Amino acid sequence: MPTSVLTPVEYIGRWSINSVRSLGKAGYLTTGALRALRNVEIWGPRLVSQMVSVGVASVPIALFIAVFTGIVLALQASYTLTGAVPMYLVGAMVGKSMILELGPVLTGLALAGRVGASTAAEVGTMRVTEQIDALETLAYDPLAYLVVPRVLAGVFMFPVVIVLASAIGILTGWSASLTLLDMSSAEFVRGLRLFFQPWDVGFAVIKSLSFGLIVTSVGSFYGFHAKGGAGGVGVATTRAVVVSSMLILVLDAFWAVVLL
Amino acid sequence: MKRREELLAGSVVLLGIVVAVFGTLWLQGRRFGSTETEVHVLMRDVGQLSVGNAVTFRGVPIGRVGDIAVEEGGTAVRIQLLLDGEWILEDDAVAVIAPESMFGDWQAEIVTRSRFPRYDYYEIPAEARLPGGVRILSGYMLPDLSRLTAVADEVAQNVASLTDRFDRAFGQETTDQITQAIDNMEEFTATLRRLADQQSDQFLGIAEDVQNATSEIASVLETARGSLERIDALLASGDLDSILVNTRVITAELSGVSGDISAASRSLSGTLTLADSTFLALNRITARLESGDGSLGRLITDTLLASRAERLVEELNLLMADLRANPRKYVRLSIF
Amino acid sequence: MSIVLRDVYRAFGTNQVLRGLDLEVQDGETLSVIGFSGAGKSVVLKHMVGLIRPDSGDVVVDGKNVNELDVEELNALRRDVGYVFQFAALFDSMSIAENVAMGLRRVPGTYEEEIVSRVRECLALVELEGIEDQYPSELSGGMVKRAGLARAIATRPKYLLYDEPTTGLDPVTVTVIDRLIVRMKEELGVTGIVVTHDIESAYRISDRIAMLHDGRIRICGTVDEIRGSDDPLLRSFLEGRPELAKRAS
Repeated sequence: MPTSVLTPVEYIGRWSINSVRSLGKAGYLTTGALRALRNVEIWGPRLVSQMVSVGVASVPIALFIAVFTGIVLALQASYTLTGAVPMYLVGAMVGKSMILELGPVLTGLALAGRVGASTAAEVGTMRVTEQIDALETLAYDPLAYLVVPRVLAGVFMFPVVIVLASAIGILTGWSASLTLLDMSSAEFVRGLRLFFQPWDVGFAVIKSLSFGLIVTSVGSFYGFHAKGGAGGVGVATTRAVVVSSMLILVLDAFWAVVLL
Repeated sequence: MKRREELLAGSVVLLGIVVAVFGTLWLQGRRFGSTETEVHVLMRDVGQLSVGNAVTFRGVPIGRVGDIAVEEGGTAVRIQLLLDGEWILEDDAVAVIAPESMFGDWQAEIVTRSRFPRYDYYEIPAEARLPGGVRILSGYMLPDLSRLTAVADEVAQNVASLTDRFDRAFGQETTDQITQAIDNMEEFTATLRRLADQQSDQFLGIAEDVQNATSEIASVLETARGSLERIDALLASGDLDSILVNTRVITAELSGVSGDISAASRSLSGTLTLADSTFLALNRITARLESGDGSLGRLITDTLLASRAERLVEELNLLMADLRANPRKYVRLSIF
Repeated sequence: MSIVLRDVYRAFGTNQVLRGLDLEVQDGETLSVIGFSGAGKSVVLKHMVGLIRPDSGDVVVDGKNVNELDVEELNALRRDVGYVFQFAALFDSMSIAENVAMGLRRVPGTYEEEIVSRVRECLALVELEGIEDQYPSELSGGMVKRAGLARAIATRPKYLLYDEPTTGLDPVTVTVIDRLIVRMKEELGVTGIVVTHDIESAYRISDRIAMLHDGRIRICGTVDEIRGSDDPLLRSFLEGRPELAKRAS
């Protein structure tokens, strides 16, 4: 058969094999990390510093994004609601979209960049400079030492950061409504409470947990399998950010289908 | 270093939890640290009332809906109202559930039975009493816009079939008078529709006109009701001469009133969309009346139909009373 | 007790690196493994601590078959084997003292005071006193290598594996490292396996030298035997003459 016919077939074949291989590696890493959960004495002491670098250090960027999102939401809501529609619906739109969608997803995407990249780069650098091998020779399970505290920190801290971001977004949306839209506080709060359900917060927290899990484990995965020198770390970092951003959007849709 | 990190992580986590918990409670409308009065309401149906909706008293928000559950046996729905602060409600307090606006938010208003005596409140069975000083109120759900127009339409159809049955009793003179009344009605409804078309331009500042107009509409309905009662009575006695006399009176009244309404409603918009549909239906009635089919014999033998029509008019009247009391509610509804 | 590799095969993808390798390291000796770049010298070393598992064959360290150990046993074994990485692989987020202490923290029942004194002791042994609180990025290449050695000896291992300990260092530092390797053998009595392609250094520190080629040990003998060998490939390697290697293969 001529090669021109075979090339796409080969390409598909290679792609499939690589996908299955990646899935296998990911599964291996996952089970390894689950097993590594036993080694509390290894990951326990590292958890706090990872919570600081994954969570606390992400608060400023998350709040920065939330501040502007809140303002834009309020202004665009009022722009959409011109005419006879009551203005208090601005509050409902800001609150609902901040809690359900924009708080978790925008923050998640920003943290996919920040946390995902730094995780992949750190772990990848440790891989290519044999620091991960060194850990093993010193009787440390690298998954317990590097991956578990990062993933746990992500799972714990993403919801915290996202809750704070959503709250700030609503507050700035509120103050934008007061200062720029001539609404009253009572009107805004009325709209805010109008469609609010406690479950919204639970939904946002579940979403955030899953985003934290995805961003940190994807970052760890690509870092762990980084090859070569600085270039390999660069590739791992880029892939980590791209893949975790995509997975965040996929998960977002998934949760919307499953939980709403 | 280590301790600083722990402190930092701990305080951010705590802050997050505090914001999530108190934010949720605040958004639910819960007040912190103050007392609440719990009141229960029993009723047949809650419409679209949901947990967290406002509870109002004389138009002022005083609490929220805490819980909604179907009573055991499925005979009624129990609504838990949580009122901020201490409340001692009047003895004949009842709750009226109604849409607060078009946007899905309903409310429970605490009123007295004497203020709206004609509503069909749910009667609380004796065994439903609660210990511990928790009051149980009777509840009534106001029909929303769609039900209102449905009722109006039903009234119209019943009136149509009623009139169908006595048209042949009229002579030439009454026919002329009725034709005259129909012309007036047509002119009136046309005006209403024109006004409804212009509604968005004149949306603001119409509340007072609405007040006036609704009382006019109510008096029209009152008249119509009175007429129907008289017709009913006359039909029962079989005195056809009296029918003719009374019809003359009715048509005169109708034309006068419709003139009044069109004068009062120059800047009227929202409410009249509703009224428009009612009068459109009346218009249909008179059209049928004009076409001259139907039979007097059927009318005379079927007084049940007449009394049913009368009951529907009464229900319409109740709604109009509410319209008069809370014009804003309906003005907002009619924007769309 | 010793380290024995028996008929070890290992491939990376399509690249068959080890093809039935046999190697035995005697207790208390220092064995240098030499060979051309890419011959798989580091791979041999990594087999000895279970960083790489063989596709087939046995790796027996201290009487235990590395393949058959569970995680706990492997960790216990690793306390007896110190690994000096080519570029030291110090954890750059930690100070030197923390780096050296890492292995000790995994030894059950070790007190903090013990760790501190052992760290000082190990750093003194590699002549790096007083740099406990510095970070790897603040040290020179030779100091980093020595710190890596200090970390490897912290748990007082019976075996020390050196991956190219002198590559990229100036001649004076090379001598310093060589002396340290000899000192480890003499003062601590450790068995050493040194992967290197610095033949002069190998002569100085080794009891025996083995040459790895084509996935097998091509030749193994004492320093004098190696010096006197007329194997063309070995001569090509020792004398840096590629034409001999071509003829040999």
